[in-house]
Amino acid sequence: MDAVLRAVAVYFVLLIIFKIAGRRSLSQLTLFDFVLLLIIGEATQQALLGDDFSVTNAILVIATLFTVDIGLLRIKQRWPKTDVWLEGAPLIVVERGVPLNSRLKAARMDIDDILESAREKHGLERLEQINYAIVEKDGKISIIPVGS
Amino acid sequence: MGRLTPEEAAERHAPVKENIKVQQVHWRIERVGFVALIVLITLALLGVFSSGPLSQVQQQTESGNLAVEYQRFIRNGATSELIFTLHSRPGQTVEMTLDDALLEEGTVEGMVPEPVSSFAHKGAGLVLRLQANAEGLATVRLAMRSSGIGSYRYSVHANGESLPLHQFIYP
Repeated sequence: MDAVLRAVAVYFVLLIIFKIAGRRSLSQLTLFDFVLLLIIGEATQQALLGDDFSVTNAILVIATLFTVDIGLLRIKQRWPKTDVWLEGAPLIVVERGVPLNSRLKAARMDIDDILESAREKHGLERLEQINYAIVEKDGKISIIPVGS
Repeated sequence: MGRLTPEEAAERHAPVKENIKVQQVHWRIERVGFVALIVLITLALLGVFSSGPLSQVQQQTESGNLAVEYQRFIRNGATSELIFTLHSRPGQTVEMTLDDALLEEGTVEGMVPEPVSSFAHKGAGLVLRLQANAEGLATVRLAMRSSGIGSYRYSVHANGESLPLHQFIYP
Protein backbone atom coordinates (compact mmCIF):
# COMPACT_ATOMS: atom_id res chain seq x y z
CA MET A 1 0.00 0.00 0.00
CA ASP A 2 2.65 2.51 0.99
CA ALA A 3 4.54 2.02 -2.30
CA VAL A 4 1.52 3.42 -4.16
CA LEU A 5 0.99 6.27 -1.68
CA ARG A 6 4.67 7.19 -1.75
CA ALA A 7 4.74 7.31 -5.55
CA VAL A 8 1.56 9.41 -5.78
CA ALA A 9 2.77 11.82 -3.07
CA VAL A 10 6.19 12.28 -4.67
CA TYR A 11 4.65 12.75 -8.12
CA PHE A 12 2.33 15.54 -6.97
CA VAL A 13 4.90 17.23 -4.74
CA LEU A 14 7.33 17.38 -7.66
CA LEU A 15 4.55 18.64 -9.92
CA ILE A 16 3.73 21.44 -7.47
CA ILE A 17 7.37 22.42 -6.92
CA PHE A 18 8.11 22.53 -10.66
CA LYS A 19 4.96 24.59 -11.11
CA ILE A 20 6.24 27.03 -8.49
CA ALA A 21 9.64 27.12 -10.14
CA GLY A 22 7.94 28.24 -13.34
CA ARG A 23 8.35 26.99 -16.86
CA ARG A 24 11.79 28.43 -17.37
CA SER A 25 13.20 25.69 -15.19
CA LEU A 26 12.02 23.08 -17.67
CA SER A 27 13.90 24.28 -20.70
CA GLN A 28 17.37 25.71 -21.04
CA LEU A 29 19.25 23.62 -18.55
CA THR A 30 22.12 25.59 -17.12
CA LEU A 31 24.87 23.92 -15.17
CA PHE A 32 23.11 24.76 -11.90
CA ASP A 33 19.81 23.32 -13.11
CA PHE A 34 21.60 20.16 -14.12
CA VAL A 35 23.17 19.75 -10.68
CA LEU A 36 19.79 20.50 -9.12
CA LEU A 37 18.06 17.83 -11.17
CA LEU A 38 20.71 15.29 -10.26
CA ILE A 39 20.27 15.98 -6.55
CA ILE A 40 16.48 15.99 -6.81
CA GLY A 41 16.68 12.58 -8.48
CA GLU A 42 18.83 11.26 -5.67
CA ALA A 43 16.56 12.65 -2.93
CA THR A 44 13.42 11.43 -4.68
CA GLN A 45 14.74 7.90 -5.04
CA GLN A 46 14.93 7.52 -1.27
CA ALA A 47 11.42 8.82 -0.75
CA LEU A 48 10.03 6.60 -3.49
CA LEU A 49 11.60 3.35 -2.38
CA GLY A 50 12.13 3.81 1.35
CA ASP A 51 14.18 0.94 2.68
CA ASP A 52 12.45 -1.65 0.53
CA PHE A 53 14.71 -2.52 -2.39
CA SER A 54 12.64 -5.42 -3.65
CA VAL A 55 11.73 -5.81 -7.32
CA THR A 56 8.06 -5.87 -6.33
CA ASN A 57 8.35 -2.45 -4.73
CA ALA A 58 10.12 -1.02 -7.77
CA ILE A 59 7.45 -2.43 -10.09
CA LEU A 60 4.66 -1.03 -7.92
CA VAL A 61 6.27 2.42 -7.81
CA ILE A 62 6.86 2.51 -11.58
CA ALA A 63 3.36 1.23 -12.30
CA THR A 64 1.86 3.88 -10.03
CA LEU A 65 3.86 6.71 -11.59
CA PHE A 66 2.82 5.65 -15.10
CA THR A 67 -0.81 5.26 -14.04
CA VAL A 68 -0.93 8.75 -12.56
CA ASP A 69 0.80 10.15 -15.63
CA ILE A 70 -1.53 8.41 -18.10
CA GLY A 71 -4.50 9.37 -15.94
CA LEU A 72 -3.54 13.05 -16.04
CA LEU A 73 -3.03 12.82 -19.81
CA ARG A 74 -6.52 11.37 -20.23
CA ILE A 75 -8.02 14.08 -18.06
CA LYS A 76 -6.28 16.71 -20.18
CA GLN A 77 -7.57 15.15 -23.38
CA ARG A 78 -11.09 14.85 -22.11
CA TRP A 79 -11.28 18.30 -20.58
CA PRO A 80 -8.98 20.63 -22.55
CA LYS A 81 -9.55 23.33 -19.93
CA THR A 82 -7.53 21.36 -17.38
CA ASP A 83 -4.65 21.27 -19.85
CA VAL A 84 -4.54 25.07 -19.90
CA TRP A 85 -4.61 25.13 -16.09
CA LEU A 86 -1.93 22.49 -15.66
CA GLU A 87 0.38 23.35 -18.52
CA GLY A 88 -0.42 26.97 -19.24
CA ALA A 89 -0.77 28.57 -22.66
CA PRO A 90 1.78 30.11 -25.02
CA LEU A 91 2.71 33.72 -24.36
CA ILE A 92 3.82 36.30 -26.90
CA VAL A 93 6.76 38.34 -25.63
CA VAL A 94 7.94 40.11 -28.80
CA GLU A 95 5.39 41.50 -31.25
CA ARG A 96 6.61 42.81 -34.61
CA GLY A 97 10.06 43.52 -33.28
CA VAL A 98 8.78 45.27 -30.16
CA PRO A 99 9.49 43.56 -26.81
CA LEU A 100 6.56 43.39 -24.42
CA ASN A 101 8.55 44.31 -21.36
CA SER A 102 6.03 43.80 -18.59
CA ARG A 103 5.32 40.31 -19.94
CA LEU A 104 9.02 39.50 -20.11
CA LYS A 105 9.48 40.69 -16.56
CA ALA A 106 6.52 38.69 -15.30
CA ALA A 107 7.88 35.60 -17.05
CA ARG A 108 11.30 36.29 -15.47
CA MET A 109 13.02 36.66 -18.83
CA ASP A 110 14.85 39.41 -20.63
CA ILE A 111 15.66 40.48 -24.15
CA ASP A 112 18.94 38.59 -24.04
CA ASP A 113 17.07 35.30 -23.67
CA ILE A 114 15.02 36.14 -26.75
CA LEU A 115 18.06 37.19 -28.78
CA GLU A 116 19.92 34.07 -27.72
CA SER A 117 17.11 31.91 -28.97
CA ALA A 118 16.86 33.94 -32.19
CA ARG A 119 20.57 33.48 -32.89
CA GLU A 120 20.47 29.82 -32.10
CA LYS A 121 17.48 28.90 -34.20
CA HIS A 122 17.44 31.39 -37.06
CA GLY A 123 20.79 33.18 -37.02
CA LEU A 124 19.05 36.50 -36.33
CA GLU A 125 21.04 39.36 -34.80
CA ARG A 126 18.60 42.13 -34.05
CA LEU A 127 15.19 42.45 -32.46
CA GLU A 128 13.75 44.07 -35.59
CA GLN A 129 14.31 40.83 -37.46
CA ILE A 130 11.91 39.08 -35.12
CA ASN A 131 8.25 39.15 -36.00
CA TYR A 132 7.08 37.19 -32.99
CA ALA A 133 8.80 35.59 -30.03
CA ILE A 134 6.62 33.16 -28.12
CA VAL A 135 7.24 31.42 -24.83
CA GLU A 136 5.76 27.97 -25.31
CA LYS A 137 4.05 25.83 -22.69
CA ASP A 138 7.24 23.89 -22.03
CA GLY A 139 9.29 27.08 -21.56
CA LYS A 140 11.03 27.04 -24.93
CA ILE A 141 11.19 30.28 -26.87
CA SER A 142 9.86 30.07 -30.42
CA ILE A 143 10.98 32.73 -32.88
CA ILE A 144 9.07 33.71 -36.00
CA PRO A 145 11.37 35.86 -38.13
CA VAL A 146 10.15 38.83 -40.16
CA GLY A 147 9.10 37.89 -43.67
CA SER A 148 8.48 34.22 -43.05
CA MET B 1 6.41 42.66 -10.07
CA GLY B 2 4.30 40.65 -12.43
CA ARG B 3 1.97 43.56 -13.25
CA LEU B 4 1.20 43.85 -16.92
CA THR B 5 0.62 47.20 -18.55
CA PRO B 6 -2.97 47.44 -19.84
CA GLU B 7 -1.79 47.31 -23.43
CA GLU B 8 0.27 44.19 -22.82
CA ALA B 9 -2.41 42.54 -20.72
CA ALA B 10 -4.67 42.40 -23.76
CA GLU B 11 -4.98 38.86 -25.00
CA ARG B 12 -3.54 38.09 -28.46
CA HIS B 13 -5.09 35.47 -30.69
CA ALA B 14 -2.51 35.44 -33.47
CA PRO B 15 -0.14 33.82 -34.21
CA VAL B 16 -1.01 31.75 -31.13
CA LYS B 17 -3.99 31.73 -28.84
CA GLU B 18 -3.02 33.10 -25.45
CA ASN B 19 -4.77 32.78 -22.15
CA ILE B 20 -3.65 35.74 -20.07
CA LYS B 21 -6.04 35.01 -17.23
CA VAL B 22 -4.61 31.57 -16.61
CA GLN B 23 -1.09 32.88 -17.19
CA GLN B 24 -1.54 35.47 -14.46
CA VAL B 25 -2.85 32.84 -12.08
CA HIS B 26 0.26 30.78 -12.85
CA TRP B 27 2.51 33.74 -12.10
CA ARG B 28 0.64 34.29 -8.85
CA ILE B 29 1.11 30.63 -7.94
CA GLU B 30 4.84 31.03 -8.62
CA ARG B 31 5.06 34.05 -6.30
CA VAL B 32 2.91 32.63 -3.51
CA GLY B 33 4.63 29.28 -3.90
CA PHE B 34 8.05 30.81 -3.51
CA VAL B 35 6.99 32.45 -0.25
CA ALA B 36 5.50 29.14 0.87
CA LEU B 37 8.79 27.37 0.15
CA ILE B 38 10.69 29.93 2.22
CA VAL B 39 8.24 29.49 5.08
CA LEU B 40 8.64 25.71 4.81
CA ILE B 41 12.43 25.95 4.96
CA THR B 42 12.29 28.35 7.89
CA LEU B 43 10.04 25.95 9.77
CA ALA B 44 12.42 23.10 8.94
CA LEU B 45 15.35 25.12 10.31
CA LEU B 46 13.37 25.77 13.48
CA GLY B 47 12.82 22.06 13.87
CA VAL B 48 9.15 21.64 13.04
CA PHE B 49 10.10 18.65 10.90
CA SER B 50 12.45 17.15 13.49
CA SER B 51 15.86 18.01 14.92
CA GLY B 52 15.79 21.68 15.83
CA PRO B 53 15.02 23.99 18.74
CA LEU B 54 11.23 23.52 18.45
CA SER B 55 11.57 19.75 18.33
CA GLN B 56 14.01 19.14 21.16
CA VAL B 57 12.26 18.33 24.43
CA GLN B 58 13.91 18.04 27.82
CA GLN B 59 11.75 17.35 30.80
CA GLN B 60 12.02 15.92 34.24
CA THR B 61 9.83 15.16 37.20
CA GLU B 62 9.65 17.63 40.09
CA SER B 63 12.00 15.57 42.21
CA GLY B 64 14.41 15.32 39.29
CA ASN B 65 14.65 11.56 39.74
CA LEU B 66 13.41 10.87 36.24
CA ALA B 67 14.39 12.91 33.20
CA VAL B 68 13.93 12.41 29.48
CA GLU B 69 15.29 14.02 26.36
CA TYR B 70 13.68 13.38 22.97
CA GLN B 71 12.52 14.85 19.67
CA ARG B 72 8.92 16.03 19.60
CA PHE B 73 8.72 15.72 15.81
CA ILE B 74 10.11 12.68 14.10
CA ARG B 75 9.78 11.13 10.67
CA ASN B 76 8.58 7.79 9.54
CA GLY B 77 11.50 5.53 8.71
CA ALA B 78 14.06 7.77 10.39
CA THR B 79 15.93 6.98 13.58
CA SER B 80 15.66 9.23 16.60
CA GLU B 81 17.12 9.05 20.06
CA LEU B 82 15.45 9.03 23.46
CA ILE B 83 17.62 9.55 26.51
CA PHE B 84 16.31 8.57 29.94
CA THR B 85 18.12 9.52 33.13
CA LEU B 86 17.14 8.07 36.50
CA HIS B 87 18.35 8.74 40.01
CA SER B 88 18.33 5.93 42.50
CA ARG B 89 20.44 4.51 45.28
CA PRO B 90 24.12 4.13 44.36
CA GLY B 91 25.09 0.77 42.88
CA GLN B 92 21.54 -0.55 42.89
CA THR B 93 19.43 -1.54 39.92
CA VAL B 94 16.45 0.60 39.05
CA GLU B 95 13.42 -0.35 37.00
CA MET B 96 11.97 1.79 34.26
CA THR B 97 8.76 1.05 32.35
CA LEU B 98 7.78 2.34 28.94
CA ASP B 99 4.17 2.11 27.74
CA ASP B 100 3.16 -0.20 24.93
CA ALA B 101 2.44 2.81 22.73
CA LEU B 102 6.17 3.37 22.35
CA LEU B 103 6.55 -0.05 20.79
CA GLU B 104 3.63 0.61 18.45
CA GLU B 105 5.37 3.74 17.24
CA GLY B 106 8.33 1.84 15.81
CA THR B 107 11.14 -0.55 16.58
CA VAL B 108 13.86 -0.13 19.15
CA GLU B 109 17.01 -0.49 17.11
CA GLY B 110 19.46 -0.26 19.92
CA MET B 111 19.97 0.47 23.60
CA VAL B 112 23.11 1.87 25.14
CA PRO B 113 24.00 0.61 27.66
CA GLU B 114 22.27 -2.75 27.53
CA PRO B 115 19.96 -3.04 30.55
CA VAL B 116 20.69 -5.65 33.18
CA SER B 117 17.47 -7.29 32.12
CA SER B 118 14.43 -6.34 30.11
CA PHE B 119 11.08 -7.84 29.34
CA ALA B 120 7.87 -6.86 27.63
CA HIS B 121 4.36 -8.12 28.22
CA LYS B 122 1.31 -7.11 26.30
CA GLY B 123 -0.35 -4.38 28.31
CA ALA B 124 2.51 -4.06 30.75
CA GLY B 125 4.86 -2.21 28.45
CA LEU B 126 8.59 -2.54 28.15
CA VAL B 127 10.42 -2.92 31.45
CA LEU B 128 14.13 -2.16 31.62
CA ARG B 129 16.24 -2.84 34.69
CA LEU B 130 19.19 -0.49 34.73
CA GLN B 131 22.34 -0.45 36.78
CA ALA B 132 22.97 2.80 38.64
CA ASN B 133 26.53 4.05 39.02
CA ALA B 134 28.31 5.08 42.24
CA GLU B 135 26.41 8.38 42.27
CA GLY B 136 23.11 6.60 41.84
CA LEU B 137 22.72 7.75 38.25
CA ALA B 138 21.41 5.44 35.53
CA THR B 139 21.15 6.53 31.91
CA VAL B 140 19.86 4.67 28.89
CA ARG B 141 19.76 5.79 25.27
CA LEU B 142 17.20 4.25 22.96
CA ALA B 143 17.53 4.46 19.19
CA MET B 144 14.03 4.25 17.74
CA ARG B 145 13.18 3.76 14.10
CA SER B 146 9.62 4.99 13.77
CA SER B 147 7.27 3.08 11.54
CA GLY B 148 3.98 4.68 12.53
CA ILE B 149 2.43 7.94 11.35
CA GLY B 150 0.63 10.54 13.42
CA SER B 151 0.48 11.52 17.05
CA TYR B 152 1.69 9.17 19.78
CA ARG B 153 1.35 9.63 23.52
CA TYR B 154 2.92 7.38 26.07
CA SER B 155 4.63 7.67 29.39
CA VAL B 156 7.68 6.45 31.16
CA HIS B 157 7.49 5.28 34.76
CA ALA B 158 10.25 4.87 37.31
CA ASN B 159 10.67 5.32 41.06
CA GLY B 160 6.92 5.69 41.38
CA GLU B 161 6.97 8.76 39.16
CA SER B 162 6.01 9.16 35.56
CA LEU B 163 6.55 11.53 32.67
CA PRO B 164 4.28 11.92 29.66
CA LEU B 165 5.90 11.86 26.23
CA HIS B 166 4.24 13.18 23.11
CA GLN B 167 5.69 12.60 19.67
CA PHE B 168 4.41 13.34 16.21
CA ILE B 169 5.58 11.20 13.32
CA TYR B 170 5.56 12.69 9.83
CA PRO B 171 4.97 10.38 6.89
